[in-house]
This record gives sequence, structure tokens and C-alpha cells, in this order.
Amino acid sequence: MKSVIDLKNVGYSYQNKEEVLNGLSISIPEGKKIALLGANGAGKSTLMLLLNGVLKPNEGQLFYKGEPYNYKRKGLRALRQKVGVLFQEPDSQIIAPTVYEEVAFGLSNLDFDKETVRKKTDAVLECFYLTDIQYKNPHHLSVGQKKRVCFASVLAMAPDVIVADEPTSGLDHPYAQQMFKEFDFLNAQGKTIIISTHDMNHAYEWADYVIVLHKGKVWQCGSADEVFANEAALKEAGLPQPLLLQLAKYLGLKEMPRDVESFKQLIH
Amino acid sequence: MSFRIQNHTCIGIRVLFIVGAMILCYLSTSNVYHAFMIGLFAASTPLLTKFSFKIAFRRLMMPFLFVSIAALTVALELSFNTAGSPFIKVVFSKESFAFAIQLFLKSMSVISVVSLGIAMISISEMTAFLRFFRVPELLIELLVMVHHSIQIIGHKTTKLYTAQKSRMAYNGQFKNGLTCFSLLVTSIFSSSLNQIQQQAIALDARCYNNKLVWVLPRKNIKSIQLVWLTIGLSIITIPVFFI
Ligand SMILES: Nc1ncnc2c1ncn2[C@@H]1O[C@H](COP(=O)(O)OP(=O)(O)OP(=O)(O)O)[C@@H](O)[C@H]1O
Ligand SMILES: [Mg+2]
Repeated sequence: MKSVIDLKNVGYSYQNKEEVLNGLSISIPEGKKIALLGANGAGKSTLMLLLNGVLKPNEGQLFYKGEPYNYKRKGLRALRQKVGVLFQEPDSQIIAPTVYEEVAFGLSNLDFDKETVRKKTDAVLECFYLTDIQYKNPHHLSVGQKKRVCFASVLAMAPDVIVADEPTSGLDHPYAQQMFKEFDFLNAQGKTIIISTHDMNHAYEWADYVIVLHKGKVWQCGSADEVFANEAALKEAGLPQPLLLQLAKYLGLKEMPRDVESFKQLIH
Repeated sequence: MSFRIQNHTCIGIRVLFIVGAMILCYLSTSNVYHAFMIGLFAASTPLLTKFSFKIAFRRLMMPFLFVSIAALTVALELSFNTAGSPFIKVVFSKESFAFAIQLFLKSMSVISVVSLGIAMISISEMTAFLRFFRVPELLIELLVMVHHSIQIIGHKTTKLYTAQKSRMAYNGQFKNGLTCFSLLVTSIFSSSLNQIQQQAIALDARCYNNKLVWVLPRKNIKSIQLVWLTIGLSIITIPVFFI
């Protein structure tokens, strides 16, 4: 499996106090849909900021396609074009006075000419159903709408790796589905998607690869089937097993169903 | 009918309108004209911007307070009588009173014009306009960041205040009010600071290059809007010749 980002013995602590991550080593496989799981305060958001080069590890090193991260100005710029990050709190990302300018903001930092920026912005707005509210002040939107604006703004920059911190929290069902569809679409183009989530059920159904963080380390990683089968390890990390798995086990099914449809077929 | 217009022109028209109205207010010495401008601009704020009448009114409250205090200090003359009683005498002279009225109306008219201007021109449009006049980048960035911080603090304050209220704070007792208020202030300070830091991180994550480049959407101007502009300009200029 080819990896896109490698972390070797990465340690991080805020303001040099308690260690949030210590000795964390992992390879992020390229072109996969990856779910990052962990209890509150496990360090998911911290890890995501490390991936984008926003935080610099106190120990260890990160590599993008084999090249060590370069924390100089130019290096970071190049890195951030390739690794886009969507923040957990939409409020902390919004800077522009209108939705349109917010979406155009990332693009205009990338040395495109204005016409190209406008064209791309229009396309992205359309794709996220934001055309109707493009002249609104993003601060006056609902949380879900804000999230979509932020996501559109990151995606407009067309990064190869998309890191999204709890992208669907606060979204209603249709928009959450839409968001996952968008992830699938991007993944089909060969992009690597990393999301953190507390929704075990969705993570199980959606992810190719799962990483569980606990005690500042990678507690478990591997394919969704492998990781979720290990109930004891999950429990220790403070996570429940997905509902489908619990049901399948209770019913004594031989195969483990990945989604509701295959579950229905199995019990018939 | 509608036609495309350069963003600069579009912003320029609005800025010129506001600046023109401001100059007229400064130059005019007629109380009637000032009162007319206050009424006109205060009333048109809810029409021309997204603000409701209530909010437009509230925006003017704060400056109103300051200007009233200033006008009062001008109007009243205190004279101290060291020999007999009463010790302090408040004197109202006719001239000082007239001057105070004029000062009050003039300041308020300028303020209502500026307040409409702030509501009508967004920060990114202001940036585009300043850049057009070759204002140094550093100043522009400073302006945007200060504006943004004020906005963040404003939003935080409303949120925290509502959160406090919903937990039975400010129940009318003075001591309780004081405690709640001091908690509010410290909380606003730390959380705003936190968010401003987060903001810097988020800017970096999107390849921010120490130059705020805004790409404004293209706007189509409808011919009817030009008609409105002309009407607006004549409404504010014509009275100058009569009053
Ligand atoms: N800016 C910060 N300064 C100091 N400590 C922080 C900061 N951000 C996070 N921490 C600490 O780092 C630890 C991990 O936080 P992190 O935000 O990465 O958790 P998380 O896994 O994203 O949790 P959640 O599921 O609640 O989002 C927490 O214990 C938190 O107290
Ligand atoms: Mg988090």
C-alpha cells in the first residue's frame, strides 16, 4: 500500500505541557477513505493540524510522499496546497464578509488570475447549493450552512489530501449524505480523504481504513472490518462497536454486514 | 435593462455618495438641513441595508449619548459663587444654547451618514477601494484585522450574554449583576483571544500570504438603480440651495 503521509514517532504537546500525542507512528494510505476515531480529547484535531503543517511536532517527523515536511515559508505553502484542512469550528475559519468572498478566499491566495478564481468559485458554489446565499454574511448563517461554506472554501483549492474535522456534525441528514457523496466523488478522483468523527455507524459503513487514537498513540489501525471486529480494544479506547456489528453478532451471522442492505440480505 | 460595471466603479459610486453627503453636512450651517439629513439617513438605513429599523436605531444610540453629553457641556455654564449661597449656579445663555443645538445636530447628521456608509460598504469593498488609491498593504491588513476582531468580539458578546441570561443571570440584584458582568468581560476576553488565534491558524491553512486578496462577485447594475442614485443625490443636494 502506497502511503501519502507518514508520521514517525511524532510527539506533540501544547505550550510544552501535558503530552497530547507521544511516539505516534503511522502511514496514511494514498487514495483511501480514512476515518479517524477517538474519544473527546484523544487528540484527533491536534493530529489533523499536524498533517497540514499548522502545528509543528515537538518530536519526530512527518513526510509527504517520502519528503520530510519543510516548515519554512515556501515549503508550508506548497504543503498546504496539497493538504487542505476543514476545521471543527466553522467560526474560526470564516474571515470574509460574504459567502462568495469566503469561498474565493483560498483560491485568490493561489496566484490564479481573477477570472479563473471567479469561474472556479461559481462552480463550487453551485456544487454545494450555496448560490442562493452567496451574498449573505457567513456569520449570519446556521451552523450547518457555515460548515458547507467552509468546506466549499477548502475544496475550491483542489487539494490532493482532504483533512476534515467532524465534517458532518451539525448537518442535517440530507446535507450529511451530500457531504459523504462529495467525499466519495473526490475519492473516486484519487484524492485521499481523512475525516474525524464520533459516528461509529457511518464510519464503519463509509471508511476503507480506520485509525483509532487513544492515550496519545495509534491504538488500532487497519481496514474497517479488522478494527471494528475487536470489541475489547474499542471499548478500552472508549468507543462502541457499530450497531450493525452488534446486531450481526447477537444474531450469530457468519458474515459481517457493511450496510443495512447487506444486513437485510443476510438475515433473509 | 442591466449592464456590467467594474467593481471599483460600483464601490466608488457608493463611497462618493456617502462622502458627498458628509461634506454637505459639514458645510451646511442650517439646523433644518441637519435635522433633515438625520431623519433621511436614519430612515433609509433599514431600506438600503440588511439592518432592521430597531438595529439601525440601536447603532445610533451610542454616539447619540456621547454627542448629547458634549452638547450639554457646551450649553451649560457653571458659575461658582465663593461668597454667598447658592454656591453653584447653572447658567443657560441663549447663545451657548443655540450653539449647542447646532453642534448636536451637525454631529448627529455626520454620524448618521457615516453609519449608513459603514453598513453599506463591506470591509472587502473598502479594501478594494483603498488599494485602488495605493494605500499601503500593511495599513489595509491592519484595518481588516481590527475590523474582524471587533466583529468576533461582538458576536462572542451577544452569544455569551444570551447564555448567561438563559441561566438566570442579571436577576435585578445589583451584586448579582456586577458579578455576572465581570464574568462576562473576562470570558469575552479569553475566548475572543482564543478565536483570533484560531483565525490566524485558519488563514495560514489556506495559504494566506500576508496580502488579503478579495475577489468580489461581479455585479450587474440595473438602470433603475442609477435612477435611484440620481434621485438620492438630488434629495440631499437640492435642499442646500433653499434652506
Ligand atoms: N489550543 C490548545 N491549547 C492547549 N491545549 C489544547 C489545545 N487544543 C487542545 N488541547 C488539549 O489537547 C488534547 C487533545 O485535544 P483535541 O482537540 O486534539 O481532541 P479531539 O480528539 O479533537 O477531541 P474532540 O472529539 O472533543 O474534538 C485535549 O486534552 C485538550 O485539552
Ligand atoms: Mg476535535
